[in-house]
Amino acid sequence: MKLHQLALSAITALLISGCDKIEGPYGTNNGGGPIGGDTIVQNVLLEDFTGHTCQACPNAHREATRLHDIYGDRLIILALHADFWADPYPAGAPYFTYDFRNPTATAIATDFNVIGQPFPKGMVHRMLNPGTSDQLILDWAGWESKVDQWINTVAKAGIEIATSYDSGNKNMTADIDLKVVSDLTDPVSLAVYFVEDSIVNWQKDGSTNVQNYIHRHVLRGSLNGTYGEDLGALTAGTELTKSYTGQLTPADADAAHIYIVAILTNNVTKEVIQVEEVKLQ
Amino acid sequence: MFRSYWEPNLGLDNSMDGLRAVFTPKPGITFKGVIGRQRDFFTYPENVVRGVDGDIQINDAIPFLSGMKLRIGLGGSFVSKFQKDDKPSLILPENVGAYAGRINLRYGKLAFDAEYAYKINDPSQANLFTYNYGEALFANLTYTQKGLGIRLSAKRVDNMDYRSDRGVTGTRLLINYLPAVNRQQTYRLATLYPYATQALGEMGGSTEIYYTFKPKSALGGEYGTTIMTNFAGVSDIDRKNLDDTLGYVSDFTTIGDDRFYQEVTFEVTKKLSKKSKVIVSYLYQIYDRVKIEGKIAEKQVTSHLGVVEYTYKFSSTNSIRVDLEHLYTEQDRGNWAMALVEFDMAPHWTLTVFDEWNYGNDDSKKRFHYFNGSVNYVKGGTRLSLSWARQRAGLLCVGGVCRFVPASNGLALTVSSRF
Repeated sequence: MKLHQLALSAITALLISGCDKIEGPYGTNNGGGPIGGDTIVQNVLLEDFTGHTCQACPNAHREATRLHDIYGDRLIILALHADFWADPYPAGAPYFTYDFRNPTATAIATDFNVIGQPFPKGMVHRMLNPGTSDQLILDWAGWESKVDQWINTVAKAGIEIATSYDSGNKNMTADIDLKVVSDLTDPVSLAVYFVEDSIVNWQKDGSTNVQNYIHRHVLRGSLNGTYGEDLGALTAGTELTKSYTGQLTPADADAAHIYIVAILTNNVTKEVIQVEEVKLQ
Repeated sequence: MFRSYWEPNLGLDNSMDGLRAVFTPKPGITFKGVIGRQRDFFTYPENVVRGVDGDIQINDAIPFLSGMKLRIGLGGSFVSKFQKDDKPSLILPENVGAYAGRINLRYGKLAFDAEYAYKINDPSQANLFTYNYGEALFANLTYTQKGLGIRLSAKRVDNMDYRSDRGVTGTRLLINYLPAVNRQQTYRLATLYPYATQALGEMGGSTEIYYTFKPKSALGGEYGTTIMTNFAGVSDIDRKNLDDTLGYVSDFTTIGDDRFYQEVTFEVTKKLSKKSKVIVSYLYQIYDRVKIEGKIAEKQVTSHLGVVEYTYKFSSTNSIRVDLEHLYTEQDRGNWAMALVEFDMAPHWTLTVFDEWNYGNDDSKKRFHYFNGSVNYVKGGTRLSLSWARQRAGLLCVGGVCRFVPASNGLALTVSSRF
C-alpha cells in the first residue's frame, strides 16, 4: 500500500468514531455542593469583566448565574465594569447614562491586561495561564472547567468575616479572621472589596436595550486598596485578625444589597488563595 | 466543510499542523484526507480536526460518458473535531462530526452547483450551548453566452458556526467556510459596509446579470457597452424559541423577520477609445450594524454610493486610473467622498494615492481625511510595498471573512516572495 493510501485509510479509520450525538439528558449534577461542618473549604473567585453597552456580556452574566446555581456560595462572583463598554452616555441620553465604573475595577482590568480585549472576559481565581507569568483571561465558555478545577483543591487558608454598618455616616467595617492551614511561602495580601448586588439599570442584551436589567455582583470599591494589605509569608497555624473601615460609595449605593468580599492572594503569582463573602447587614 | 486559511492582511491564521494526503486512483476520481491541529495565532490547541473528501467527475471517470454533453460532478466530505468535555455540568459531544454532499452539473450554457452540509449537535459559546444540529444549503444556477451572463444564488445557514474549540468566538479556529451571496465589493467606499455571513443563521439570495451591447450598435457605440445589475438580500432564518437546550426550531423554507443586508448595483462599463475606459456604478445598501458588527448603533444604515472610474492607457505598459466616489447616508458617520489616482508602470511599478474624506460626519471634529499613499514594486515572485496610511476604523474583509480593525496611522513596508 502506498503512503498516501495508508494515510487516507488511517484518517478514515479515525473518522469512524467522529460523531458523538447527544440525545439527552444534556446535563449532570456534577458541581459539588457546599461542604458542611467546620472543614475549611476552598471557595473560588470568578471575575466577570463587563459593561452595560456590551451586547454579548449578558451571556456571560447568565453563565455566571448558572455556575452559581451549581456551586452555590462557594463560587464568589465579581462583575467589574470597565473599558469603553462601561462608559456612560452623556447626561440626557435616553439610556446607559449610569456610571458603573470605579477605580478598583478599572485598576484590575488594566493591570491584568483585560482592557482592549473584546468583552466579556473573565478570570477564575486569577489563575495563571499555564507556562506563563500572566493571568489566564477566559471567554465565558471556559469558566466552568476552571471553577471546577479550583473548587476541588484543598484549601490552604480560611477566611471569616464579621461586618457592621453605620447608616448615619455610611461607614462599613469588616473584621477579618484569617486562619492559615498550609505554609504560604510566597508573601500574601488581603484585599477587602464591597459589592452591590441587583442594581436595576439599562443593559444592552444582543440587539435589545433592556431598561430594567438586574446587574448582579457589581464591584463598587475596596476598603483597603486594589490589592489590599501585604501580610508577608505565613506559616501553617497562623491566625490573624484584621479590621478595615471605609465609606459606602457611590451615593446611591443601597446598603441592603451590599456584600463584603475578602480575597487572599499570592503576591508573586497574583493567584487567589482563598475568598469569602458575607452580606453587609 | 473545511478550509484551512492563512491571511496575514486580515490577521487570520487557522492553518493546520498535521498531515494531508491526496489520492487519485484514476482520472476523475480524487480522495483527500487531512488530520491535524489548527493554529490559533501562536499556539496550537490540543483539539484534533480530521476530514476526508471524495470527488468524482463522472464524465472523466466513466469512459463511455466522456462525450456526453451533460457534465456531472459529485462529491462528499466528512469532517470531525475532537475536544474533551471540559464542562462538568454538561454532557458535551467530544467528537463533533459534519458531513456535506455536493453536485455540479454543466449542460451547454447552463450550469448548476449545490452543496448541502449537516453538523451534529455542537454546543459552544457561539451558539450559547444549544444542542441543535446545524445545516447549510448553497446553490448556484448560471447561464452564460457571448454578451450575456445570468447568475442566481440561494443560501440558507442554520447553526453552522463550526470551530475546533467550542470556547472561542470571532474569527478564531473556524473549521468551515460559509461563502456570502452578495458581491465582494472592491471600491473603497463600498467596503464601509461589507456583509459577513452570519453562521448562526441567515437566509438569502442574489441575482446578477451582465449584458454587452455589441460594438457599432446604438447603445454599444464604437467599442461596445457592458451593463451589470445585481441584487442581493439576506435575512435571519425563521426561529420559534423553545425554553430548553435546543434553543429554537426553524422552518427550513421560512424567512425570518430581521433583514441583515440588502444591496442593489447598477454598473455601466464603456470603452471610450482604444486607450480609455470608463465605469459608472451605483450601489444601494441596507446594512444591519447591530447584527453584523455587534455595534450599539442605529440598527440599519441605508447608503447610496456613486462611482466613476476612468482608465487611460498611455502605452501598452503605462496607464493611469482615476476613481471618484461619493457615499450618501444619514446614519453612522454620514457622507463620504473619495478620490484615487493610480499610475501603473507595468510590469514593475505601481504608485497609488487616495484620500477618503468623511466630510458629512455629524461631529465636525471627526471630519477626517484618510490619506493613503503607496509604492509597489514587483519583480518575479517578489513584491515590495511601501505605504503610508491613515486607516479608518471598520470591518476589513478578505475572501469573505471580516475582522474589525481600529483606526490607525502609520507607515508599512511589506515584502512578499514566492519561490
